[in-house]
Amino acid sequence: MDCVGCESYRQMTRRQWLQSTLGAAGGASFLGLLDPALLYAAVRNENRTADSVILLWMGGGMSHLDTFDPQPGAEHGGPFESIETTADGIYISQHLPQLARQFKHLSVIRSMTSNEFDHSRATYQMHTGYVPIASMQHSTMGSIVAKCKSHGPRDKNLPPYVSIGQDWAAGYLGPKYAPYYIGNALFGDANLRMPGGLGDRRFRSRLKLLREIDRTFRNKHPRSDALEAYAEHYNAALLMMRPKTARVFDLDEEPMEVREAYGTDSVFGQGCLLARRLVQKGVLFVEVSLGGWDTHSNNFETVQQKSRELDTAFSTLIQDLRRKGLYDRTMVLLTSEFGRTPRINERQGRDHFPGVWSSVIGGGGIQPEIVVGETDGGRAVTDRPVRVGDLHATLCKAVGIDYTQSNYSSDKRPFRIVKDLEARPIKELIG
Amino acid sequence: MGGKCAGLLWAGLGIVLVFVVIAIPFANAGTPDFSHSRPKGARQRLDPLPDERPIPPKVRFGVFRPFNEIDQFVLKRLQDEKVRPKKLCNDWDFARRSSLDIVGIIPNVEDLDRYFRWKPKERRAKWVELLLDQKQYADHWTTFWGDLLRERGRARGVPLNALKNVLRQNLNENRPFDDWVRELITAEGPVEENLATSFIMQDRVHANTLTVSISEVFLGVQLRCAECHDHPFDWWTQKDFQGMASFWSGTRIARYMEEQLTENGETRRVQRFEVVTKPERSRGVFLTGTRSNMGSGPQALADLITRRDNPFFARVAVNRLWEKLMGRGLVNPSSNFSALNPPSHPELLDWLAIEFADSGYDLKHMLRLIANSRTYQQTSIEPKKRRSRGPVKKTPEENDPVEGSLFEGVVLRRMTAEQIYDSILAATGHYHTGRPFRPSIEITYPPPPRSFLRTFGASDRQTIRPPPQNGSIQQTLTLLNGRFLNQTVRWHSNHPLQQWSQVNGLNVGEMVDALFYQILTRPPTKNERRAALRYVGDGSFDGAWEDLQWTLFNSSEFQFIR
Repeated sequence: MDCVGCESYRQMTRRQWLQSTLGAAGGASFLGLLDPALLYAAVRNENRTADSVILLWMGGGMSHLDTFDPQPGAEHGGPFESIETTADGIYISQHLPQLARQFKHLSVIRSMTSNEFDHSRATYQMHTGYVPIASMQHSTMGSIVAKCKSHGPRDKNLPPYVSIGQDWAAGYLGPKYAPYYIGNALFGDANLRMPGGLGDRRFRSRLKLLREIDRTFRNKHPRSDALEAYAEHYNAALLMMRPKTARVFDLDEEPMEVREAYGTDSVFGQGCLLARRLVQKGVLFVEVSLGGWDTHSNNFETVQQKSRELDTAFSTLIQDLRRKGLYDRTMVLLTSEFGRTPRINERQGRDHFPGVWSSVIGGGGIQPEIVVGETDGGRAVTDRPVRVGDLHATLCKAVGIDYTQSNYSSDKRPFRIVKDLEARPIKELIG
Repeated sequence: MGGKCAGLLWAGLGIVLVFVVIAIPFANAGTPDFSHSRPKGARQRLDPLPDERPIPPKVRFGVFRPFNEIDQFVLKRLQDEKVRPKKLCNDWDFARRSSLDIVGIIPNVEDLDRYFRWKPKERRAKWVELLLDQKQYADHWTTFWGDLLRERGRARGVPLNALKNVLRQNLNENRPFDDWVRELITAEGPVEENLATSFIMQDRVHANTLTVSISEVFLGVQLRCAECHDHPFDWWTQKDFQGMASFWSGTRIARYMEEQLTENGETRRVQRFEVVTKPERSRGVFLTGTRSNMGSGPQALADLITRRDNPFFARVAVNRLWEKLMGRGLVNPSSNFSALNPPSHPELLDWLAIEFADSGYDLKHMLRLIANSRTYQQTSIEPKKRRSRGPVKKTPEENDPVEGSLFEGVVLRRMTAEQIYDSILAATGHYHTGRPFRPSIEITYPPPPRSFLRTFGASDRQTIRPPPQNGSIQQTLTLLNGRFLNQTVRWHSNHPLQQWSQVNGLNVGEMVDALFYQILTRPPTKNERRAALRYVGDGSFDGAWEDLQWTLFNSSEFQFIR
């Protein structure tokens, strides 16, 4: 299936590639803006714990009562039973049996709480730590980790932050730290190869001509952030096109049994597989989204169905990370924008409930088999409330970022990584 | 509650800085339209649109002369702030910018040829007329309003693309804006017989959704938060929300069966929907507290929204047009008319709004006014003096206007997804053929998630969002390697430039020039011309022409509105 052009392409070394494609000596970048080696350069150095983060985002508001904070027999508990897990004293929903077997590697936070009832506001706050305001866009934790981690991906041509299934704007940290967005993991490598039949000589001469023509316009607008972003995207795209780099997105490289273990019919499952491939290459932050948890009606049917998909993918991810020796340096976090009401409405649904929800956390830098917080049957937090800021502080601590520091937007406005001054990392989990 | 509480809340949230940036006290405090602190009573929020328009100030600011009333307001403000406006853009840039803004595609060589045959003095005004008369005018603005109204081609019980067709027809006829807005809100009856019902049908007459959407689009106010709680930073309370939502309490969808004759002569029964309104059942209370003598159903809501003295309706509409053309709203962003977000030029906003109302809500009239202003025709290019200095590192003062908010020049904007897509089709001769790619107006919205349009930020039509300005690696990869661009640049005999070349007997050098006119709307520089000529050689290799087009489409200059 390989054409000759692609093969020679594949055999090129990094230096050759840069010189030939970018047509410049010594690895100066395509549009003369950046040194690609510095594209995702180091910013700060601290004691290393986890190297990467995988965030499993349960979009729509996952019912904590029917997953990780089960209340069988309670009036509001619904029809699901709970089952024992391999973690001492932790019970979860009967529809997560494979995950239950992996739970000795995980901890659960049952006392997540906030005030945001609205999907987009709550999602925004969980990702950025700030409430949305009309005049600007905050950066997500993914961007912050990408910026603040002391080292980028080992393959410097990979973006440090990849989001699968949910796109995020750049925020104040700018396009350099915006997520590389993949809508569907099955097509993660779309457009990373040159158009068929073009041949790489012609591709290179196209780029050379482009460089020549692009100069005129850029000189007329030297201070434009938008043009700078354009140039950065071209630099990053060309670097990612290197065959050695691009192949990380090609799930066909995985053995069939691995793909099946993650669930071949599950886009989320394949996203988890891609996430593992990416952290294996040292990508710093990968978010994988599983939507559809907004169960205003038919809550139990939907949650059961979603749980099956989640159970297969998440449990396989943990096993796979462990088998590859990646689990100790990858922090895995599963969370959602809010939980769901104890009250079961007339459509057998549960509504938005920011008062309580659950997160599952494990891997690098995190103590396993811990239950953080207590709830009154999932109806209210009775002990050790965990707010968004606490969760973010924990995440930062686990990956070795000082959460009290500030980042600066291009106009020099400071933004504390964790805005809430009261926020603290969850000690039980960090040790 | 009240001002003190809101203030504490702000400080507590640590958004003081943001507050400083967005709450710039505006200099021309002649009309106290917007109050800075959170107003206490519901009635003192925003003044009704006055009957008489503010008088445009007399102004001469050095060599800069106003072209029309818009410029009088803008130049006066610049003079007060001692900021020199930029020069006028050249005729090429004007042709391109206005074409993208008014009809959504870049101009072609034939039209440009006509344009440059016109006398320089009347060239630009005539060009604007030419654009306003093109049929793509309606197509382009259908996407604009379609994004705002979250028009979805497939909605349960609604014929395919019904709402789009309604919008397109209204815009094509340049029907008065207030008129078609009223129709969308008040439409009732069987959907098949009254396609205008599709706007409320697509949301299943869901009162809360309609309330959020109508308030944002036509009143510029964000009621989303007030759905569940009093708006923390704004005028609105949950009660306001409920009052607005109650206009819909007498409206519902009814089903009925209809007998239909099939092709083979049999009759079958199909389910149909209609919108039924019992206005006596609704209890709407309008945001401003104004009452309508049309009761309190959708008729009353539409009346209250579109009546002349509504503080929002005309201001919000002209501000949207202004934002679209200038890259920045007088109230910015345009969907956020709020106590904390006052207009940069309150008198100009009022003047435009009253002009709009007096013109009979004529959208084309307003576009014509803006496009013919000096303000719109300024260049986006940095003056040579400022180029070398790098970023301006001046410490901003508290009262400094936000950069660009004085409209001393035009800001570079990224083309929207539809503008890029349709422009590529138009420049390569695929726009009218419909194969293999259809222009965006013929695509059922929202386009599929992985399509070219969505990758470039076309709306998913679920939420109302301004087009993204950031670009992404995915977009870059799509242009570098994607099927769309690599197929459209094929050098075929129907390519408009091949035909243009045949008619005019062009040589290779002239073809290179034509390619630059067609794609970048300007002649090549000397260096570019040399590089391009070296590349295409004697012009016999089709691939070289494809590469040249590919290159021009990938250039930053193509992707930005300058």
